[in-house]
Amino acid sequence: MNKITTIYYKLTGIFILVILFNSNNLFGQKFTEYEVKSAYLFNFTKFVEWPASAFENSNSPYVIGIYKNDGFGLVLNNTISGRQVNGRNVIIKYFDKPQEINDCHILFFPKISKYELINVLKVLEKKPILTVGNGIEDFCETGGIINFSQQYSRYRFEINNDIALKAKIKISSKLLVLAKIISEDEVKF
Amino acid sequence: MIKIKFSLQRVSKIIIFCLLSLLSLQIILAQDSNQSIKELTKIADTYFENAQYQNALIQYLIIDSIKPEDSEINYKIGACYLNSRYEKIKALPYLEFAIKDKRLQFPKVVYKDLGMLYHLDYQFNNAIKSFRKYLELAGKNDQYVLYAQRMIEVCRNAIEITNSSYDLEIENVGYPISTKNNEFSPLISADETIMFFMRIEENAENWKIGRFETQGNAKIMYSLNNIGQWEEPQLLKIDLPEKEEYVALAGLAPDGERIFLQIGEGRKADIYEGYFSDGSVVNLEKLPNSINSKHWEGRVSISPDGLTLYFSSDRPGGFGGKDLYKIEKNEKGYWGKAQNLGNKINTSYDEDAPFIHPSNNSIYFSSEGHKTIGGFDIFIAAKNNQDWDEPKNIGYPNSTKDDIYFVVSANGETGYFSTFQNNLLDNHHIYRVNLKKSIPLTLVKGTILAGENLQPVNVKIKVIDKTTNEKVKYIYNPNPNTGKYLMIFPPRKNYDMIIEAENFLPQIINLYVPNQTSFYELFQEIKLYPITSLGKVIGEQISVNNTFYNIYETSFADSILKQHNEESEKDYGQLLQIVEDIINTTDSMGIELLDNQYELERTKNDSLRVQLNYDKLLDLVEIAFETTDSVSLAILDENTLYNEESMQTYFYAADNDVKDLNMYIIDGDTMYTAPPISTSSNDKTSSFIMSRDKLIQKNKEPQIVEIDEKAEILKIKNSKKEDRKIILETVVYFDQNQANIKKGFQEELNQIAQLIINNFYLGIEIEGYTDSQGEDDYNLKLSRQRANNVLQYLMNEGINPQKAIVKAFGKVQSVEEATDEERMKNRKVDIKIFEVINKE
Repeated sequence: MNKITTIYYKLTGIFILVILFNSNNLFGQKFTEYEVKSAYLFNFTKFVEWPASAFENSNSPYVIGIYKNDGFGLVLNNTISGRQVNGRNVIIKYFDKPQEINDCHILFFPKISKYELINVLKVLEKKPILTVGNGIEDFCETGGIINFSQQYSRYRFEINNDIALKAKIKISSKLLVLAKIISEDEVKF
Repeated sequence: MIKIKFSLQRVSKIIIFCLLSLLSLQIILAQDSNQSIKELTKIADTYFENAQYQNALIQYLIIDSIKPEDSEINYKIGACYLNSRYEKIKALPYLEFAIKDKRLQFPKVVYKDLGMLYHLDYQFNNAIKSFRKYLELAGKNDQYVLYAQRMIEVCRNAIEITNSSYDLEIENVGYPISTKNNEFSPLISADETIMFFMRIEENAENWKIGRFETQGNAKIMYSLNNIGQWEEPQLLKIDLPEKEEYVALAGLAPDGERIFLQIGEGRKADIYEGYFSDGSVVNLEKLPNSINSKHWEGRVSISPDGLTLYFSSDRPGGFGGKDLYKIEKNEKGYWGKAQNLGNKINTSYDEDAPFIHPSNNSIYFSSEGHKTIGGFDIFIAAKNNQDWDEPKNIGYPNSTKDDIYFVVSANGETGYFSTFQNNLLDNHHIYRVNLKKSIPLTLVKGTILAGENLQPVNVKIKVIDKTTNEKVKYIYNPNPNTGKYLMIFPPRKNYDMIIEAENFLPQIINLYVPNQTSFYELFQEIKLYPITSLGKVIGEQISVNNTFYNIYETSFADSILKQHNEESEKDYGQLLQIVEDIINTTDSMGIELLDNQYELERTKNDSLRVQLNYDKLLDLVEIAFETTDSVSLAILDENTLYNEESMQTYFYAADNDVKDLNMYIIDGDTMYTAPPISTSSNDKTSSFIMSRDKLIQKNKEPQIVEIDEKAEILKIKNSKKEDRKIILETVVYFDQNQANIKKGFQEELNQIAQLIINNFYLGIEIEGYTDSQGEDDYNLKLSRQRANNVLQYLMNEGINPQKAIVKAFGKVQSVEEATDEERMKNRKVDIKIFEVINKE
């Protein structure tokens, strides 16, 4: 009896909320694409392990790098500012040329041509940097590690774990389960 | 024991002596003070008679502290205060006290003055009593009779209005805008990101708010608000025309880019229009003579579509004093004649400071007539077809003093005005009032850049209201220095934006604003690129980026990275607790999102940017990862607003044919535009707006347009010659008997390859030829080899061979060529790049 009543109350609660929404003027905020992707990037730090060599000491911060920023940086900054992961701060760096890229843990590409991507990835080969593409065509196939998918796709992102392993980055199996896996063999096939 | 006895005697003696001396002292002093009061009064009276009220006051106040109940002294003190500049209201208690004394005869103006003081002090009933007393005593022709009568009316209005006013939050805009100086005349852009105002020193001589003769010494300042707070105001640099010294703010267009200034002295002042760019006003131009007459013109307000200009003027032919007028732009773009706004708005008193709200439905203005509660008050009148409704006093924050400059943000939530709030200091400051309204409007802010280097260019945006059948409704001119524009649209409308930029074809973008009930901002970034190949401009590309975050801060036009908005830090403590509770009870995602929106509805939000619950978002994603909950992520994804970038490329036909241009007829004129850009963002836009008013939409159909690669390539392969639009032609020449590509042509072929790779819909015709020498068979083979080599070269550069149509024709002509040169010209491969166009 008790359980049923709780369920009943929960349902009523939902219905009330539903009715409340349907009345005019809802200032409810949807999140924008960049905000959601910022949340993903932030949480990648919690589900990915970098080799010890990627950090100077136990206090050095996580660095999220943005290659050729287009406004994503501002949103990322707003969304994650001031938060810590595993006792480390999270800071954002901006890069415009492949040679500029130094210690960062995640490198996000808002937009890049395939040609330029190949060049950048060549420079980054073997470095423990988690490369993330913003829905860039063939990102994982070209050698990137994580690529966000289009809206309404079956999976939120694709992961090329082979590259990650080569770069000594360990991605939690939880993320792998949620992703579409791109493997080198597939690509060649 | 002996000592004590001794002391007691001694002590009592001392005490008696002290008492006696004190007593005598008092008598002496009393005598003295009586004398000194007389002396002081004499001194004070002398000052008073010489109209040196400040000095007289000091003396009277001293006297009053000694002898406070003297009616005459009280009266004199009151009179001194009345003659002061900043401290009139202090006279009130003294005069009140003084007139209670029935023995004294007071001049009847005292009652008029008392009435005025009561009114200033918001004691309207007492004010009416005083004015009535004055009218009783005064003769018919006394100086202040009319004034007293009007003031009684004003006080009655004031009682009515201040009773029915609701409690609005008013606050000083604060530092750094408000300082110890006087700030007045605020002007804001529709989106509140910039404020212009005037500043003049405290105690500035002869300065009276609203009296135009005295504003010459005020400084014009501006302050930016991109990070949620006003930045340190800067002096506005203005390049005044020759010989002119005086300049005052006259108005600001809603986009914050076009600014109006009143330049010149007194009556000769004229209104100029200029653009705001990087701290200065540039391109200053005088407004036409329909506005600038030889009389005074003061303030200007322009509607957001740029078609109607409201202004105040004291030219004759109105209803008395300063009146409000309007002029309208006709279809050709010329300003018509000035029209008085009519007797609903204008009275025999002064009307000034018109402000047309960006919704174009109501106008705010200041008037001394109508139902004011004192001095100038701010009124609002709603548009009613060609006329206006009865203006309403906006109530609070109107004060008993002059309230003149009132402007409202586009979303209707915030009003800015300047006033003397503190009666004591009489300093004028700028205040902000939370109007607690939300006007359903869509604000479209964007930048438009063009050219290879993406610069602001001369561009006009015409907006056609599709529901009224294609008459050009609005014309917007983005700021030619920054490329920024701001457009305001009412709900439930469908528009076409026609973008006419120099050196580009007109482009059409469709914009649909659904039936919304709240205020909404859309950011757009339009880029126009020329496509060049082989040194020629062969086409153009338009890219439209509709985003839901503020790209003003990241566009090419501004290269400064702004700090993050500190406003979003608020209220997290509360929300964090809610998140924790929800996690603990392991509710499903659906309920969490509902909670999210519900909580935000309850949470107070007083800035244009809605508070964002980032903690919630971050925790949701983390939990979803932790529990590998792909369903929650999918629901989050469904409800995410995606940036929409649409790109469209149009190639010019090499023979200048226009058969695939879009024909657009407006106002009877035919215009050829590039094919309308299809952005699915319009559906996203409308779903965003609608879902702000409704629940989360479930199970939307995916709207991705998949390019069917195979079909496209087949289309190229199977195209007939008539269906191909040639966009670029070039020739590669060969040496005799040779099929090798000469080094000199490699660069060209590289460019061609890039063009084909970058543009999916382009195909290429490769046709090989030879000169007349040699056998036909041999030449056929040679021509084929030449064509194949070109194809091979292009393939090596990365093009898809399926996009190439290769043909070999052998000899160009069988007759021998007349010259060597002609012969050389026939050893060639013709390359034609084309696009398949669908004939309808």
